[in-house]
Amino acid sequence: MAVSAETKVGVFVIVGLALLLAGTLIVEDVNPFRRGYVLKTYFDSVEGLMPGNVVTLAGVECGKVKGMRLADGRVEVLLQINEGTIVRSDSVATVAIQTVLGGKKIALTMGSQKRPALEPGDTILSEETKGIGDLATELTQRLADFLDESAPKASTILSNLEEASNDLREGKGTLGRLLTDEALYDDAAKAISTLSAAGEKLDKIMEEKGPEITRIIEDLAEVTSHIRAGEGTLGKLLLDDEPYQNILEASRDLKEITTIAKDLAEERTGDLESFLAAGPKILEAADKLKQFIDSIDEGEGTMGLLLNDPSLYNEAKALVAEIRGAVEDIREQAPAASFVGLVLGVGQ
Amino acid sequence: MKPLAAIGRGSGKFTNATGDMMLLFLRACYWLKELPRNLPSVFRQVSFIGVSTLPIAAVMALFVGMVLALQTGYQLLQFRQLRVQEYVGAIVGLSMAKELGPVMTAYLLAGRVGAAITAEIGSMAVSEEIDALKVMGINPVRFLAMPRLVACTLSLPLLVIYSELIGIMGGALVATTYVDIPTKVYFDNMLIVMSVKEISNGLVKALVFGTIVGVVGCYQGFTTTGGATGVGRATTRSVVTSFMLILIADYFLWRMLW
Repeated sequence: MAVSAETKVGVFVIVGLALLLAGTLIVEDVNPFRRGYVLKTYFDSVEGLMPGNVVTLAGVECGKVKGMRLADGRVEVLLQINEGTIVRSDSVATVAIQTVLGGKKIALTMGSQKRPALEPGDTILSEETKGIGDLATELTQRLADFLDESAPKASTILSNLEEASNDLREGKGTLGRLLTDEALYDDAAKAISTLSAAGEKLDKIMEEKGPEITRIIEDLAEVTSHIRAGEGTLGKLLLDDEPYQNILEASRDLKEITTIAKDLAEERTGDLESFLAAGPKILEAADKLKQFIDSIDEGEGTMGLLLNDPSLYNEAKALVAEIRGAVEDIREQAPAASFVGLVLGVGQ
Repeated sequence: MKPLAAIGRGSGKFTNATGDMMLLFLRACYWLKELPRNLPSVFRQVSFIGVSTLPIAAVMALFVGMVLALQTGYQLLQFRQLRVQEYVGAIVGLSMAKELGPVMTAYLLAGRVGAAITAEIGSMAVSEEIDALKVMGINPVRFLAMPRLVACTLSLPLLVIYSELIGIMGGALVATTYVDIPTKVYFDNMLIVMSVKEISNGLVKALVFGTIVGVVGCYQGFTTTGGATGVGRATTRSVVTSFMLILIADYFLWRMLW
């Protein structure tokens, strides 16, 4: 069955209008079946609040702004609260921003559970919120006051800063020198390049001698562990108290000795002094003795000759030999001589 | 001197045309009193202008909504820490209701329907059928222009309703898949900023645009001369003139309504 033009148009129009109606109801959130009650509140300024804006209780949507009117120099705002929502008598209403894009809402605080619920037609307490404009004005005023107070300080600080920056620029002071003197930078650069070269060398050394160094370190660790355990002389020195006590005693003794020596020295100071005075004389005598001995060594003088010349010794030795020979002879001849003697003697 | 003369002639033509179009509109309004007798003709025209354009308008609106959500969502995602991408719904909804819905659909209507009206009436004009009607005592404005004008004026707002809804749905599709925001957030943010005023102003614009398309189409048709070539030229002029007048009217309506 071909659909006539009238039918098509009828469907087109009806469906279009129905969609428009539904859209309008959704956008306006109109629900003729929803029941609720109306509360009132008063503000000095509502700053862009409009009928239809949302009412929230502790952040939860609970109604809509029904209407507004001016009354007694204030704005009376009627709030359509959903059925079943309890608003306490100490709840406070404020005009709040709903979204970043704009739009206002009425925000109600929860209030105390002990307080009674408001009845339809009652008035909710209200609190003014500062709009962006007021906040901006207040901020600007505070900023202006602050600037007035701190202007002299600021100018002092600025002039000091100026002076300091001039000094810096001219290279005065340590910081100025740091900024302007290139030599420091060159030195630093050199140092860094030297350090990096040293680092490279160290790397090389570590590469080549790494195992050796590791071994040395390990040995060192072993040694120190022995020492710490009190093994060996060093260990004992570290851990044993006795050497220390001995040293202490010895130092005490030494002290005693030095005290005695000091006393002695004090008593014998005269002796010491004369001994000390005799010192140069002794040295002189020693010199002379040395000279004498040197001369003897060089064969000077009788003693020298006696000591150094071997010919005299040889002669003396020969003489002794002759004398011995002579004595032997005499001894051999001694009985005969004595007989002769006797004979000759008797014969007288 | 020649350029100045050309400008003078052009101004004269422009003023004449504007005056004639206004007169045509007023005459068509006068013949509204005969509307009950011409209902079948009106239904036929609404069927052609409204119902037949709906599929194309739906496709156009779907993609306009999707592209809008895509482009705005992409830009808003640059500031995802501030969660501003959630406002894609508000942007798509408001744009479709206030501007894109009425204007894009009016363009579609001007291109499809305005050209068709001009071609139909223009063909009748060059083949002297208009003169025949006059001879028969049938007022061409009542018989030809008025039903088409009523059809255009009524169809476009209805088409805009469908376009807006489909565009918003297209935006929701992209918002949930690409911009990655929940559907509820998309619609919640849209409903916060949308009001009946936005929708109704958009429909008022659609009414005016529909009237423009109908008047321009009929006028160009009635003033067609020069045979088949003339019909072609008239069709082109009709579309271009409709486009320009829609934009100009859009500006002034904005100033008046908001």
